[in-house]
Amino acid sequence: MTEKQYNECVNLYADNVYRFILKNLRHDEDSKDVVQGAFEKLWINRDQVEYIKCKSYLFTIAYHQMIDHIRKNKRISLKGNFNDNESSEKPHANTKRILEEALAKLNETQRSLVMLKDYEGYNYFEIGQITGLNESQVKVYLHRARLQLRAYIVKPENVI
Amino acid sequence: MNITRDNYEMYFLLYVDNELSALEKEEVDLFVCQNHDLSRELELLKGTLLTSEEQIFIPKTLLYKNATRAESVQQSLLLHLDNELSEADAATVKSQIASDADIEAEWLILQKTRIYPDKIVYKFKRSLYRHSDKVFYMRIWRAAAAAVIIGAGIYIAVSLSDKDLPGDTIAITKSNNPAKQVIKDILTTDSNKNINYTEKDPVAITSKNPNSAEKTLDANEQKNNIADKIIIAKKQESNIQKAVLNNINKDERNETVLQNVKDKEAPEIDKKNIERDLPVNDIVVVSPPEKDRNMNTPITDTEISVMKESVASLVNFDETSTNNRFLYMDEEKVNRSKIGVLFRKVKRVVERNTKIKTSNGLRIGGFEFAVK
Repeated sequence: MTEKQYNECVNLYADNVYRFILKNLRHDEDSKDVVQGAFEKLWINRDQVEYIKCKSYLFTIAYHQMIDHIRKNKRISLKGNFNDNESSEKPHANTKRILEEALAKLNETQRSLVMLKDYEGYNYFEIGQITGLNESQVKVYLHRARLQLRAYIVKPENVI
Repeated sequence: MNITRDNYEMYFLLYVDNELSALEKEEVDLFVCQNHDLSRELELLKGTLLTSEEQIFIPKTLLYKNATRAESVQQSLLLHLDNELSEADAATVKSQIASDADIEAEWLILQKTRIYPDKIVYKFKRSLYRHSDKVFYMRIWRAAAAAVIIGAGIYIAVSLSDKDLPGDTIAITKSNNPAKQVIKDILTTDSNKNINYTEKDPVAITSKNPNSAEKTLDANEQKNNIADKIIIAKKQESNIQKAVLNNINKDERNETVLQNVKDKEAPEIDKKNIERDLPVNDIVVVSPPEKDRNMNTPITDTEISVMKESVASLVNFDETSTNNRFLYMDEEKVNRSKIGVLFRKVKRVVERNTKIKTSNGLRIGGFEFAVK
C-alpha cells in the first residue's frame, strides 16, 4: 500500500470506523483514541496490507482495540441505559431511540455483530474474520441478538 | 346407605351427577316411591343437565401445534433479514410471508430490529494523513554543479593571478620614434630593486608591484607605439640576423640598445635567469639606452640569444588579450581594474575550455558577472 492509498483509506473509512466504535463505546475521546490507534497500525503495516483489504483490516484492529479497552476499563455506564421501571414512564414515540436502548442492552459481541451486519453490510464470513469467530458462531450470536431486540421492542411499554 | 327426609337432597344431587352406583340409585328410587311429594324435586334437578346438542364445532387442524415448523420459519426469516439466503430460498420465504399472516407479522417485527447507519463524521482526519518528505535530487545536482564551476573559476583565477605576480612587473616599450625600441630584461625577482633608466627616453612601465619604480608618459601615444613595436618584433622574429642588428646598431637614429647583461650599472643578473625559459606572458622590458654605450659595438651571440628570447616572448604574447591594461600609466587605474582583470582572465579560460562565446559579462553557474 502506498502513501497515497493510505490517505485514501483515511478519507473513505475514518467515518465508518469512528461510527462503529462510538456506537459501541459511547465515549467520544475513547473512540478517537481507538480510531487513531487503528490507523497508526495500518500505517505501520502498510507494506503487508493490500489496499483492497484495508477496510476489513481497519475494522479488525479497531474491534480488538475496542474489546481490549472495554476489558481494561470495564466501563458499564452507557448513555441512555435505564431499567424497565423507568421505561414505562417515558414516552416511546421515537422508534430509533427504543432500538438504541435495546441495542445498548446487548453485550459487546452481539452489539458489534449487529453493527457490522447492518452498518457495514459484511456477511457472516467477513464478520467472523473481523471478530475472530467462525461462521456458525456469527450466525447464532447474531440471531440471538435479533431475538433479544425483538423481545424488547414488543414489550407492552415499548410497543412501537 | 340410609336415606331420610333430612339428607335426601345430597343423594338427589349425586344421583343427577351420576356419582352413585347402581345399588345406590335403586335405594334413591325406592325412597322417591315412598315419598311421592319429593319426586317433583328430583325431576327438576334432572332438567339442569346439558345435552350434547349445544357443543360448537372447531376445526381441529387449527388446534394442532408444530414446534419444528415455527423454528424453521423463524430461522428463514432471520436469514432473509441478513440477506444470507440464495435467490431460490429468498423467493420461497417471500411467498410464505405473502401467504401467511402470522409469518408476515413476525417478519414485520423482525424488520424493526434492523438498525440503519447514522451520518457521523470523524473531524480529525488531518491527524491521520501521512506525508513523506520529498527529495529534490535535481536541485542538489544543479547546486553542486554550480558550486564546482564557481570554485574552479575562482581557483583558476587565483592561480593565474599568482603567476602574474612574480616580483616587479613588466611591461612596456615606448618611444616616440617607431624605430626606437627600448627593451629591458627584467630578470630579478626582487621587487625592491630599481630599474635603471634614463629620463630622456620615454619609457612606459606598468608594474604590478606598487612598490617598484615606474614612470608614466602619455598613455594614448604609447599605446599606438607599442602596437607598432609588437608588429615589428614579429617581423624580426624570422629574420633576425647579425646584419640587421648591426644595421640597427650602426644607425644613429636607432636608440634601441641591447643592454649587456654584464653591464656594470645594470643590476646583477644571474646567468641562470637568462638561460631559463621565460614565461609566455612575460614581457621583456628593455632599459633605455645609455649615453656611454657604444652604438657601433657589434652585438654578441649572447645578446642575440637574449634578444631572441625577449622577442619570442613578445610574439607569443596573446594579441587578443587586452594587454593595453599593462600600458596604463596610471597606477590608480590599474589598481581599480584588478578585479576586472581577474574576471576577464576567468572568462578567457572558460571560453577557451568550453568554447562558449559570452557577452561582456562572465557567466558562471547561471550567473553573469559584469566584467566592465
